[in-house]
Amino acid sequence: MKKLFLVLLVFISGTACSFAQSDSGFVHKGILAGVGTVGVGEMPAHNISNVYVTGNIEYYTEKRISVRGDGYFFVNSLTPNSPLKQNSSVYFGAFYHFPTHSGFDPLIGIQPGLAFARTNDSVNGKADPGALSPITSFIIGFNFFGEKWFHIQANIRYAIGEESTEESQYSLNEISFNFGLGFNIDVLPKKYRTVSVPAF
Amino acid sequence: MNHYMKNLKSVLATTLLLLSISAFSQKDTTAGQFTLGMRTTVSSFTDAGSVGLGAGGQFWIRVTKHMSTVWYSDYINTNIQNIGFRRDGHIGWSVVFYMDKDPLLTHKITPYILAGQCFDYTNVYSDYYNYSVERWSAAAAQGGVGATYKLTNHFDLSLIALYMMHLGKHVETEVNYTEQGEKYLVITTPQGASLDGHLLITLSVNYLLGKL
Repeated sequence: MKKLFLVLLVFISGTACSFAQSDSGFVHKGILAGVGTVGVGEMPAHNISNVYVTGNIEYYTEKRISVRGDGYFFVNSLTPNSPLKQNSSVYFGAFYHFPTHSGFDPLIGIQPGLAFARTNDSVNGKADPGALSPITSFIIGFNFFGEKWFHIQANIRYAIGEESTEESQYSLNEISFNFGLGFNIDVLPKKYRTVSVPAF
Repeated sequence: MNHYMKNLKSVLATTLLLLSISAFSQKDTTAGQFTLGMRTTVSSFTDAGSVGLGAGGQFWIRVTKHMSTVWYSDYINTNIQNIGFRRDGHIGWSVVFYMDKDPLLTHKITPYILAGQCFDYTNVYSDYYNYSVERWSAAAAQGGVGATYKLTNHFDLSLIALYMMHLGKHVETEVNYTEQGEKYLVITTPQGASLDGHLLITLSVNYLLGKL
């Protein structure tokens, strides 16, 4: 997972530097995109791996800025005897898109959110009921707009949080990777897509 | 409750007054800018050295070129050395004074000072006693410094450091040790005003939606 992270970081940094002077690519204001992905996460504090089904909706408010909401649905832990029984989360935040002159769209973002986590811990026979916990995350990744309507997306997310209940205190820190296919439409007429927005 | 309502009314009246003044100002074209954002907060200097993490949202209403208000809510969770936990809920506001001749220009860092008031909910739990304490307070005050960097005309990143004091009812924690050397959490609820509080460091992303 660390190697993957480094490779993607180098990839995005290189791309950003190469195309910093040019921004004639596909990405423009007014794109509304939805993506479904499958994700795998690793929790370093517990040495367990988890699988998620994820989805997000993203809107490009400007050529370089988008707002995006993500949902992570916990499927299961891949690690045998994992104490984690639930860890589904929602996030909302903003992304910066590095300019390129192609359909490749490297991005970096911040998304705070909430996670509902539950473990199989118990105290005096009372099972952990789970709790809604604040969580924050930092994301790097890319979209690739190869077709007019479709694109692919990959993200690496580092999420930081903690489940605290009377029965359990469990770190939710996790690095995860997800990859999937998305659908995109233009919600603005063509003449408005390149109009720069005044600051009022 | 009446006390809380009075506080709330005075806050709303002050804000409406400030907004009204700005609305009638013909020269200031920045007045009324409305910015919406998401924030993540780190809470420290409380709970026996433990650090908490929170998530929340906020909006900014600019009053004049050099003054703004920020309205926020946070939900913060702190694991206290695996012997207890603390949950904080904040709903508050601050007045922001920009320390720059031309604040909030694109590709420029704008420093500012800010201060305000906060409605505060706290729930602290100790594993050892299997006991929790909960309290509401409308008398938390905060002040600090911040900086905003605008990446585009509408989008900015902001970093704020605030010290929040719980001037009303407050909950304090202390780590003690049993004779066997096992640590446990003691919760106390001292009466009267205190300068005890926590340092809140907030990173936020914000988008200028338009003018009110």
